[in-house]
Amino acid sequence: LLPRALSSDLLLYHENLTPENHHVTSLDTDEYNCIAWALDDQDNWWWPSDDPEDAFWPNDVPRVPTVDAFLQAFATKGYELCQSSEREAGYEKIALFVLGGIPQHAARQLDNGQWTSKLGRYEDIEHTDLEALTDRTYGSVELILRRPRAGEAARQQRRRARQTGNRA
Amino acid sequence: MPTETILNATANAEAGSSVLVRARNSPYVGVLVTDAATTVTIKAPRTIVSRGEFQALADWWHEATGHLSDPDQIARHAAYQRILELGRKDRATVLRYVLEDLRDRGGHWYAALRTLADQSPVAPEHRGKTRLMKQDWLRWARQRDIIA
Repeated sequence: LLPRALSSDLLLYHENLTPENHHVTSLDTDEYNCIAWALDDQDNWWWPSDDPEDAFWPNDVPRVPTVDAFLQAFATKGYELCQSSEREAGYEKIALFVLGGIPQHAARQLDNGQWTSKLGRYEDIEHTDLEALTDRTYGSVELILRRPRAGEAARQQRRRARQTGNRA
Repeated sequence: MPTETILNATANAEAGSSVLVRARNSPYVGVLVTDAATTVTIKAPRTIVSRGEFQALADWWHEATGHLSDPDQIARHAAYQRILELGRKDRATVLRYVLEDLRDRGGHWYAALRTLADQSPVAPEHRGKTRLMKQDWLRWARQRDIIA
């Protein structure tokens, strides 16, 4: 049985999370982290760690904890920069939280416009907005990225294929 | 370092090499040191790091870093660094405590384990996959009777 909200110990690190703006959606696990969860990957711990054994990071992306390196890492999964965190039909979005110039956390937008986050090796939560995790631990949102939803990507590919066929 | 010679045996180790061991049916955990090509002695240092001391540090580390994703930041925490310092005094005991904690509570212990064991049993294809990394380390530890 899942707890409704995070423990009070963990809430100490996230001063804007309240029982009203989040709920727990999984048990805790150290099998994946926030970046993996944002990318819908539950098999890897993503981070540009010093030692490649400690965490997965795409081979062709610099192994440094910078915003640009994270942007490149998300691009390997089809994400590109966008301007707004508002829900957009046909797209899924990720928000990257940065503190002192160093990425700390990522959250993924759900179909209902709310957001889902994995907190380190603690639980996954669903939170109403990005402000809920804007704090002295994760910093604030510096990038919003988007990619076509899986079905949408296939539709766009078929459309491109049709257009190419029509021209030929 | 106080030592007690508790057995002589044969082993496939070169003279002068050392291997971390736990003697079967014995409370001794120590460093296996060859003094000739086939004769070995176990030098068993007395435990100088208590479980309570390790537990307090590990509790602090789990509580303070559980919400983080960066393995390097997790390993820089003062409690983690103190555990590595203790490992320099009593490597076998601290290695066992860390492996037991990994088994029971999980956590990103892998940099500490590599330092304490001076090796890594993680298969190349398991890098970054913490579920499989944990399995590799626990299998390695059980094969050597370091943990149950």
